[in-house]
Amino acid sequence: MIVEIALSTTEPSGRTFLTWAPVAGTARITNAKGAVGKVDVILRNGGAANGGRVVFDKARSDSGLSELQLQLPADGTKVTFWVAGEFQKPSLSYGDAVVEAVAAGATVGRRELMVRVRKNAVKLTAAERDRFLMAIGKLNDAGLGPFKAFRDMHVALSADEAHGYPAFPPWHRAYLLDLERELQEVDDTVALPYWRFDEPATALFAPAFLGMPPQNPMAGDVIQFPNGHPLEFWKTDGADPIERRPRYNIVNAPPQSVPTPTGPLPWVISQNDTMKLGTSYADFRDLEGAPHGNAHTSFRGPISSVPTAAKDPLFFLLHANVDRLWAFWQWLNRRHDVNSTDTYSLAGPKRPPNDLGHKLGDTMWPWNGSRKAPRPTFPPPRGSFPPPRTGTLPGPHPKVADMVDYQGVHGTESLGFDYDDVPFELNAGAIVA
Amino acid sequence: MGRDLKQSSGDPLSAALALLASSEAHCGCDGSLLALLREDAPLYGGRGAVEAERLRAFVMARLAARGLADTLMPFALQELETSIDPYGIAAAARVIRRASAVPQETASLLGKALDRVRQIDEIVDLENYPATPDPAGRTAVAETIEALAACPNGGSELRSLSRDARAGGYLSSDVMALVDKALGRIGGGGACCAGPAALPISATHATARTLAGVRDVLLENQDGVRMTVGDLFGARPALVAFFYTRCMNPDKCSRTISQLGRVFDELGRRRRANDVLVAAISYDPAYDDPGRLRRYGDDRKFPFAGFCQLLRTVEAFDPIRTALQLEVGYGQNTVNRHRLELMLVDRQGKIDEIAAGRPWDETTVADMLLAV
Amino acid sequence: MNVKEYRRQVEAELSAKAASNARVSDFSAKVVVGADAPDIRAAVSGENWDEAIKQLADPKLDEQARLVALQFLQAGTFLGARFAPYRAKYLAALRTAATSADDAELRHSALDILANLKDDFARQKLMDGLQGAGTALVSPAVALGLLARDDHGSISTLARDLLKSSTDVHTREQAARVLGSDPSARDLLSELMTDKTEFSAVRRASAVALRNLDPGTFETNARSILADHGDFGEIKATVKGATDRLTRP
Repeated sequence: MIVEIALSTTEPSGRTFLTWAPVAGTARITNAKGAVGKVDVILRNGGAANGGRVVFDKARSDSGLSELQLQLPADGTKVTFWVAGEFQKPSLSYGDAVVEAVAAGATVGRRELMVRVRKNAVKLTAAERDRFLMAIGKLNDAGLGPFKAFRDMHVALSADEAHGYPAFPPWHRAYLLDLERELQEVDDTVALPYWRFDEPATALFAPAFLGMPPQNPMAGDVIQFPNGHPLEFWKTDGADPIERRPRYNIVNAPPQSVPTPTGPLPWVISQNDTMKLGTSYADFRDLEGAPHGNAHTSFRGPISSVPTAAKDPLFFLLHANVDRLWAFWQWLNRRHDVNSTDTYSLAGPKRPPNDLGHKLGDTMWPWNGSRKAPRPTFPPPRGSFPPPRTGTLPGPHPKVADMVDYQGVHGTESLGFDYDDVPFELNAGAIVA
Repeated sequence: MGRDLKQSSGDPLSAALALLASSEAHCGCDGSLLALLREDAPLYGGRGAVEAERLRAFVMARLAARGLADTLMPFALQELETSIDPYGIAAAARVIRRASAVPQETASLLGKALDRVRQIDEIVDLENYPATPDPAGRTAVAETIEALAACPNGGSELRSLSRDARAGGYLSSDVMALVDKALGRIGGGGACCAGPAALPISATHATARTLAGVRDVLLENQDGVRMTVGDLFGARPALVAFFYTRCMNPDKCSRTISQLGRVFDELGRRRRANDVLVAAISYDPAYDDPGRLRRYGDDRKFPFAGFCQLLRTVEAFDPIRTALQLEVGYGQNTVNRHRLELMLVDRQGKIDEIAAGRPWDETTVADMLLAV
Repeated sequence: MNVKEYRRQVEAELSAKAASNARVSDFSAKVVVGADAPDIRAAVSGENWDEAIKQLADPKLDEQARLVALQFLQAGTFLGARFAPYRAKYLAALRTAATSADDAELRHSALDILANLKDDFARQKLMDGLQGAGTALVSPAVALGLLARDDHGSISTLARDLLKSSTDVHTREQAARVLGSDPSARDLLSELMTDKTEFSAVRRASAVALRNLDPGTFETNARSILADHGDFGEIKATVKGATDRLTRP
């Protein structure tokens, strides 16, 4: 007997990727070998012992189990099921997660896949780290690759779109997803790692990863990569490669507060303190100041200034953590419904002219191709948003709203990324089938 | 005026400063004063881009103070449209304030310049070179608002600025006070209008510019294919612009190449793409190799084709620069500043300059090209 | 882990910290540089930025406090338009700190931010220091590194002079980096890249710079280096990494 397993996130290449968000699948018997009626088939994990794991359910849920019993008609009729990566059991490499179909104790079908989520940079295996570095190094391609556009998107002239106002989190979410999709064009097993800036991250600043400058500050702040490192020929503009020097001892995290004559000043505040900024979006987006701004200025070098920050690849790991904090806050407070002003709102002390680029229904620069003031009037550095290899989201000209419910809790399709410590959980109003 | 500049009296900067200070050139009828604003003027040679911007802004402000503001208007409008330097915009604002008449479009251009400069504002010193800004001095934003207030039809811009800036919180209380004061002065109306509506996009015959002496100069396109200037120009009317891939101002070169591509697309829609040549030549041939030209065009959707190319000179660019009198200056590594340059070349090699250093629109230029 | 169980754990952890952690509200209660502020939100405010600008520019103040003010203000710049009204005065304070501080870290930090913005005042001061026309605010290697951030900065002549005169590895390394934006430096960079008597770091910086300017010559040199059994493993690893991974332009 042969059972064919099809998953909706199987790409044209035949490779399949899952996150924590459930996706629809079908199973059908393609060779019944004489069986008639319905055949009991169990779907289960068949991957490597330390590899990625999946969970199954008959409906779109957040409580799938590691096995699912199906009755498959022998005539080949498809039976639908749902599958998701098992929370906190992501893959380390492609194919270490497997959906296996078993009938009468025998394996009758298999589909290899990868549970691909964004992970804490310090917890990556050496192979995962190197795949990421090779991919971003290739994307940069010594200044000749598509990375140039990402550097040109994050500049002073686009600041109103991305900073200071409500769309700071969604604009950067789109920016990171765009970059991640480009990275996956180079190596589809790569997900953007994050720098958890409220914890020590010595492994991230090790020579084999993002490196450190010479010990003596008089020698300058150029990162001393080992010869042959994938970022050795990194180039954006000006003289490269990368310059950066932490202002804190990297054995620790950056300080959560710093002393002043009148009392401590909030600095790179912890995840818990970030969660306590408030349960409404208007309060939460204060994370743009602390910890976000202070994380940037925990270093000397281009990363500490808006127009130059994206010259340093650490920028993307820093912002992946800012995005993860938003995702974590969304999960914690069940903030996925864009119709709720607690999830997203324009409320706040200041508003840009006409709230342009910040209203939920507004498209975002540069993917919308706008050249009309007050947006930049020069040709946008990126074209339309890259399409996913499966599904449709967020479309070529994403709107602010498209970035909010990234897991599709209230929809049926996710944006294709997740964080290792932010689960998928249904909440009121969510679509369950 | 300038302080001790550590320059010998014979160097171009000292000569320029001496000229600025001299009384005989006071009337401005002598072209030597305006020549100081050309990007290829010797005083900017070898300087870095920011340094050259600052020096030019100083020169512009000095010339405005000398009563030449009306003559400087085209230079000021160019700055308002494309500058991303606080000093350049502040100097243009000074020119506007001192001019006896300004085109109606000035207020709108000041508003757009303000949108750019508010992100990069700083205290400016237009009285000294090198600048020594006083921490209590005036910022480029404040200079721009003063110009808007002096602009006969600046009221509408000021009113929307007042509304947006209050909501957005992007102007300091000092500057908001300036806005309020200006609005109080203007009241409900604001007189209109001292000058023409807008300077039209036009083509001017550039008699002194000719390709005659450079027909043998070798060019190379984005694919590494080589040809002489004579091979390229003459068989069909041509639209030619100049650019370089390292340009830091996306409203100049990036926009130019993107627009040139759109002109060619437009000609294709009119089924005339085979009748003309659309080309851009790099100011920076030593750096802009064919691979860079190709990528730069691809990134801006430039529709490369047999008659739509990006090029560089195989040897030095200087003969082209001289023959076409291009306003481009160089530092030690690359261009330090350049004007927007767009030209029509007919079959006889006659050259018309389009838009005189200002931005242009694709449809108008496509029409002009087909009319050649 | 079951998501409901995970939620219970996270919520318990959060509330446990809230109960035991009055420190959080403490530091939020008295924040900012010279002013009482009730919470994090209030820390990011115009009054506090104004006060911090004063402190950054105040040479009488403790250097560490000025450095805190600098970082606080620089974090404010990430708020875009909300910080814009304070930007001009902040830049003026940075210029003051760059030249008035006794503390090398504060000077360097102020110059670092100004260099990111291609500030002409910082450029002038760094050039003066390198040319002996003024006080050297930072080491030559640091000054060159900061100037190098502007590839339109016209410092090639200075970099060439330093390559002739300096034997300091870091200064030479930075000078080679600078020349990576000067097409006329191809031959010099090629010589440095292939010179076995040169510092390894300088050869590497020259290789990176040359590849940007002239990939063809870089590849010719790379082939020679890889074929030369007498050359060093470090430079071999560098050029091999590039030839293996980067697209041939």
